[in-house]
Amino acid sequence: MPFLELHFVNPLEFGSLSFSIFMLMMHIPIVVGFGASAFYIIKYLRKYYGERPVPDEWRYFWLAILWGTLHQLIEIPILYQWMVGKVIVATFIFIQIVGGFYLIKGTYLLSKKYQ
Amino acid sequence: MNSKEAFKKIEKLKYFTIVPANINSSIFGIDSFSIETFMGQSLGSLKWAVLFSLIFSVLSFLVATFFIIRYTREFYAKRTIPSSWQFILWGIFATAIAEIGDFLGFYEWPKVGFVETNFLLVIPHVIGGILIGYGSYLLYKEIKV
Repeated sequence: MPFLELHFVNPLEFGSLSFSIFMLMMHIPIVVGFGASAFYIIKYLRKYYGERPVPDEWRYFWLAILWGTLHQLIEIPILYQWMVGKVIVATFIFIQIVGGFYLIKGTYLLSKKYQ
Repeated sequence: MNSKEAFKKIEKLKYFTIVPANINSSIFGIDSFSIETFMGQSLGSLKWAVLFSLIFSVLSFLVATFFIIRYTREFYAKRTIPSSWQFILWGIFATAIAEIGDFLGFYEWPKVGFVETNFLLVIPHVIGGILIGYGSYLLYKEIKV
C-alpha cells in the first residue's frame, strides 16, 4: 500500500452507469442524514438548555454524531479510491475509534443518568 | 492466479494502485474475504489496527442501540416513547448493520458479493442516515421551552 496517492476516478465508471448513479446517489441520504442530525441536535441543545451548561451525556452524544458524519464522509474518497494509501487508512481508523468511543460514552451516560 | 497473487502483482505496479470493482461478483463475496487487504490493497503493518477499528465500529453502534433502549425505557417509563427517539434508535441499529457491510465490503473488495453490497451496506446505510436525520429533526421540533 502506498503512503498516499491521489487519483481522479470517475464515479460514473464505478460499474454499469445505472449502478454508478445508484452508488453516487446513496451517499446523499447517508452524509446528509448524519450531518442534519448533528445540526438539529445542537439546535435542540441550544434551545433546551439555553444559557445552562449542556450535560456530558448530551455533549458526547452530539460529538458521536459529528464524528459519525466525518466517518460517512471519509468513506467516499476511500470507496472511489480518490485517495489511496496508509494516510487515509490511518485517518479512517482514528475517526472510527474516536466516533465509536463518543457514541458508547454518550449513550452509556444517558442510560445511567436516568436509571 | 489467485486473488492474493493478483494483489501482490498490483502492488508492484507503482502507478497502478487503484483496484477497480469486479463487476462479475457473485451473490456472496465471502470467498474473497481477507483481513490482509483493504479495498484490494495489502495492509501490512496496519492490518490489526484496521481489523480492531472495523469491529469496534460495529460494536459501538450495537452497544449504543442497547443503551438507547435502556435510556428510553427508563426515562419515559410508562409514557409513550416519542417518535424522535424511535427514529434515532432504529437509525443507530440500521447503521450497525451497515457497519457490518462496511467490514465485509472493505475486506472483500474488489469482489464484494451482491448481498453484502445491497442488503448489508447500501440499504441499511441509507435507511440509517434518513432515520437518524429525521429523528433528530423531530427531537428539535418536539421540544417545548
